Parts: sequence; C-alpha cells; structure tokens
Amino acid sequence: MSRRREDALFSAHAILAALRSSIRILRWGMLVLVLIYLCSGITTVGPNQRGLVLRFGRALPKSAPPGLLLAFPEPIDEVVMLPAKSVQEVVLDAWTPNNDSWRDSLHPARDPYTITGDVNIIRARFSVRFQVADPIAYEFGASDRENLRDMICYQSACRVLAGMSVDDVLTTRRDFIGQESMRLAQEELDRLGLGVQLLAFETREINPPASVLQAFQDVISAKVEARTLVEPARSRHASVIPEANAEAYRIEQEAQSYAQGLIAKAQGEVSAFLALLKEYRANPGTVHTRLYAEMIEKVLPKLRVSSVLPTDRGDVRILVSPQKADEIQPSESNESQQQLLPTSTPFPQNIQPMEDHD
Amino acid sequence: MKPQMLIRFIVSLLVLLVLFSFMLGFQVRQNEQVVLTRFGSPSRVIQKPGLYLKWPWPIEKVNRFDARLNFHEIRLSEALTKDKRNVIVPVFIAWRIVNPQRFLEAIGSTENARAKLDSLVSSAKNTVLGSYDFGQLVSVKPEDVKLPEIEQKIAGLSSGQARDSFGIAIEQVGIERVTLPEVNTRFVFERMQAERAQFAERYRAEGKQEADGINAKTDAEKTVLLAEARKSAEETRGKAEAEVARIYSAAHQEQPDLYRFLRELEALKKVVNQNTTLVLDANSPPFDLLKAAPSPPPKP
Repeated sequence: MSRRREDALFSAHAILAALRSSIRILRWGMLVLVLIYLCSGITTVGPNQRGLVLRFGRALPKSAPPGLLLAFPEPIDEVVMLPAKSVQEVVLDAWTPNNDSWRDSLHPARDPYTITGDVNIIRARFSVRFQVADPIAYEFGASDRENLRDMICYQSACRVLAGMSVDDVLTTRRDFIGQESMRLAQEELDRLGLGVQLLAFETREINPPASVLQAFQDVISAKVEARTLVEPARSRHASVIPEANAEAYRIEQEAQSYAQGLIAKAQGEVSAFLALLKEYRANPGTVHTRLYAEMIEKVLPKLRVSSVLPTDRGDVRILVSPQKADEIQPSESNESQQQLLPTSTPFPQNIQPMEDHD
Repeated sequence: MKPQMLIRFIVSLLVLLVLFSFMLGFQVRQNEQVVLTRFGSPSRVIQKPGLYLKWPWPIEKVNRFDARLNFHEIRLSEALTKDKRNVIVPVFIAWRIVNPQRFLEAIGSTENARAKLDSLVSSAKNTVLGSYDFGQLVSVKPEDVKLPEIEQKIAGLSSGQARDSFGIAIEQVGIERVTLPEVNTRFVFERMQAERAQFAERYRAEGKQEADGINAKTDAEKTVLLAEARKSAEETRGKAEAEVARIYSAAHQEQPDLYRFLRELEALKKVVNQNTTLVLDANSPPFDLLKAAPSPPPKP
C-alpha cells in the first residue's frame, strides 16, 4: 500500500515538475509571441510604393518613402501601400468592336459606339497614360477608381467627338481628339479630387463601323484620283510656261537681229550710195553711162525673146523663135550667160541678127 | 519577487486595456464614416477618421459606410429629344454618402442606393433630354454641343432629392456616349454611305475641274506670253524700219536724181526675168551699136 502511495506521490511530483517546466516554456513562448506582435507593424516599402500609416484609422499626413517603415502593431496602426508616381497605362477599348463582322445595325449596349457631330457612327480605341499625383487622394478618393477614371475619359472623348465632323475625326484633326479629351478629363478628375495626373491620351484606332468602311475608303481613293488628275496638269504647267518663255525670248531675239540686220544693211547701202555720189558729183556722165550699161548687161541676158525694131521703116516685125526659147533651161541659161556677160559679147545667143529678114 | 509582481501587474493591466478598448472603442478608417445606433436608433454620426468610444455591444452598434466616391452606370434607356428623336444616352454618376444617418434610415445599403439612384437619375435624364434638340447633343459646331450643360442639369435635377431623401450627393453626371436605337443605326449607315459616295463624287469632280482649270491657265499664259513677244517683236521691226527709212531718206536728200536713177536700175534688174519679152527700138543703146558700122567711134 505504502509502496503504491509512494509511487503516487512520486508521479504527482513528476507531473508538477513537468507542468512547472512547461509553464516556463510557455511563458517564454508568450514573450516571443508578444515580441513578434509588437514588431508586426514593421514592414518594408517597395521601390514603386509609398507606405501610408493609418493610426487609429486616420491617415498620417505624410506617406513614407521606399525602405523600412516602423509602425505600431495592428489595431493601432495599419499600413496601406500606395502606388508611387510611376507611370501607368490603360487601354480603353470599350468602344472597339468585339467582332469586326459586317452588320447592318448596331446595338447600343452590345456594340458600343458614339456618334460624331454630323451623326456618323464611330468606334475607337484609346490609350491613356497617367500618374498618381496624390497617392492619398487616389487611394481614398473613390471606391471604384479605375472604372470612374476610365469612364471620365470616355465621357471627354464623347464630348469632343460630338462636336466634330467625321472627316475631321478621321483625317485632319485626329490628334485634336486626344489633346482635347485629355484636357476635359483632367478638369473632371481634378474637380472630383481623384489624385490622377493624365500624361497622354492617344487615339489608337478610330474607324467607322465595318459595314460602311468601304464607302469611306472609296472617298480616300477618290482623293487620290483627284490628285492624279491635278498633278499632271501642274507638271504640264511647270514645263509649258518655261518653254513658252523661251519661245517668246526667241521671237524677240529674232526681231532684234532682224532689226539690226536691216539697219546695218541700210547703213551699208547708204555708205555705198554716198561713195557713189562722190564719184557722180565729180563725173556725172561717166557714172551714169556705166550704171546704165551694167544694168543692160544684167537685164538683157534674162530676156527670153528680144527683138529690135528698126525705126527708119514704118512696118514693125517681131521675130519669135520658140524652139530655141524652149531649149533653154532657165537656171542653166542664166548661169552660162552670166559667165559670158563680163566678156565682150553683149548679146544673148538667142537674138538673131537683123540682116536675114531685111 | 517584487519586480516579478510589477511585471504581472503591468501585463494584466495591458490585457484589461486591450479588452476594454475592443469592447468600448472603435476606429473610423480614413475611407469610412460611421453612424452609431443605440438600440437601433441613430445616436451619433462620425465622419472624421480616428479612434472613438462607444457603449459595448448590445447597447451601441457601429454602422460603417463608405466615405469615398462611388461609381455607378445608369441602366440604358431610350429617351426622346425635344425635336422627337430617339436617342440612347448612357450616363454614369459619381456619388457619395454625405449624410450617413439619412442614408441609413432611407436606404441602408449601397445596393439599394444604386437602384434608387438609377430610377432617380433616369427620370431626370429623360426630362432634361426632352428639353434639348438633337442638334444640341451632337453638332459639327462645337459651341452648339450642350452635353456639359445637359450633364449639369441632370445633376441639378436629381441631386436635390438625392440629398434630402437619401443623404447622397451626386457629384458628377457624365454622358459616356451618344447612341441611337438599334433600328435607327441601319438608316444612319445608309445615310453615311450615301454621304460618302457624294463626297467621293465631289472629290473626283473637283480634281477634274482643278486639272482643267490649270490646263486652261497654262494655255492662256502661254498664249499671252507668245502674243506679247510677237507684239514686242513687231515693234522692234517697226522701229528698225522707221530707222532704215530715216537713214535712206537722209542720204538720198543729198542727190535725189541719182537715187531715183539707181532705184530704177535696181527695179529693172528685179522685174526682168525669163518670161519677159522686150520690144526695143533699135536706135536705143546699146543696140544702136549693132546697126552702125563697126568703125571706131568718132573722135570728139
């Protein structure tokens, strides 16, 4: 019995000892847990983040830069990681056709589009780059901030497109859409205090729906055609006018040289005349006779038929010798006679002597 | 033993503090606002973040509401403009609970609020659109587009009731798009196609017209250039001839009879050719020499 009692006492002691030691371990364990808890507020802020401490729910005025952030444990402090000022990009493709198939009508909800100032249906895709300018405002400004931000961009684009003609939208003022949309969207974002700074608003794609695309492309090809008509006319103008200028210059130059030639000739003749005149004044009779004889020498050989009338008798006879006249070739005879002229023979061969007929 | 007692005391005090703070305190987070209800009836509204005290649970209850802007797209519906044209104008709103007590009493949850706002803004939208022409929704003249004004009017019309009845401020009404009922888009397509065809035609015609214009201008310029050149050439020639005449006449004044004689001789040389038949008096020189005896001329 006592043996059993001793045994029981011993085991009770052992249990007590074990309990005591385990309590000690538990105490240390508790201490470690408390320490871990106390350190649970210490975190690191990543390179693209800002750490914001909410002390009892209220944001401290300054957010912490990247690095180690010392904060109190959970119920006192709560650390919220905010996106830093890095640039982000979103693609706004809600107005992009889901499928590009040809359709002859569009449902406003299933195939989102908007209309331009001249009631043309237009579909588009934009891309927006932005920066979080005010992290606190960005974090606590709106519950659904991404959707709200995107929707404000769509609203601005819709407003801009509603005041433009489809031609401007598709061609000349395509850049204006992005610029103006960005301005309007920024105004609205600032008014709502969302802490977003837009950096770029780009029109990635803007098109009429597939079913009318062909007609739009036809307009573009018509423009090209018009240019192909106009360009040759322009180049013709560019080549014809210089040619005409050259021609005009040639005509004037010809006239100039003709005029100079004419005057030179006249001056030559006049000086010849004056020279002759000098001679004539000295000896009028001789000059007169010489000139007369020269003329006769030149003229008479040209005559086809010449006949000399005797003036003593009353009847006049004309001798015509057609055969001989026909034989003479005009050019040959001219040359041969002119050769003969300077020599002694004053008469052409075809003039017959008078005596035969007397 | 003494410092150990002190530690125990401190620890138990801390535990008590934590317990009490969980029972009696509550936090309002930066993005929240709170309505405390005592046995169900609102007792306090807290709109500033921080740590606050309350009676423990069954007595006071914390009702938390979002203090941020909420975004909501209004259900699509057709509306009629003043000039009786059907339009579908998708609208979104940004709203915020500004009077949480009223919000709690009138609506209670955000989902209910969405439904209420939906019908409120929809009817405001229909009313406002009914007082604007279609040409004030979209127009090629940007100054005619009244979309911002329409947005403001919708906001103005609905925000009064939203604030008074629901404790909600409508901070923004935005028109996301301007669209047409599905059946109308078919006609719009047809019209777009017709318009484009017309434009294409016009560009072609204008191109042709411009080309013709340039060609005509080219020809006209060329003609004028040449005509002026000819005119000036004629003038040059005329002046030269006048000059020549002057030169001749100045010279011939010296001895008119010699000139006349020379001219006659020249004329004879030119006039006479192969076809000329001349009938001459045999006594005229030099033929008179033929008739006379071949004797030496008499000495004077």
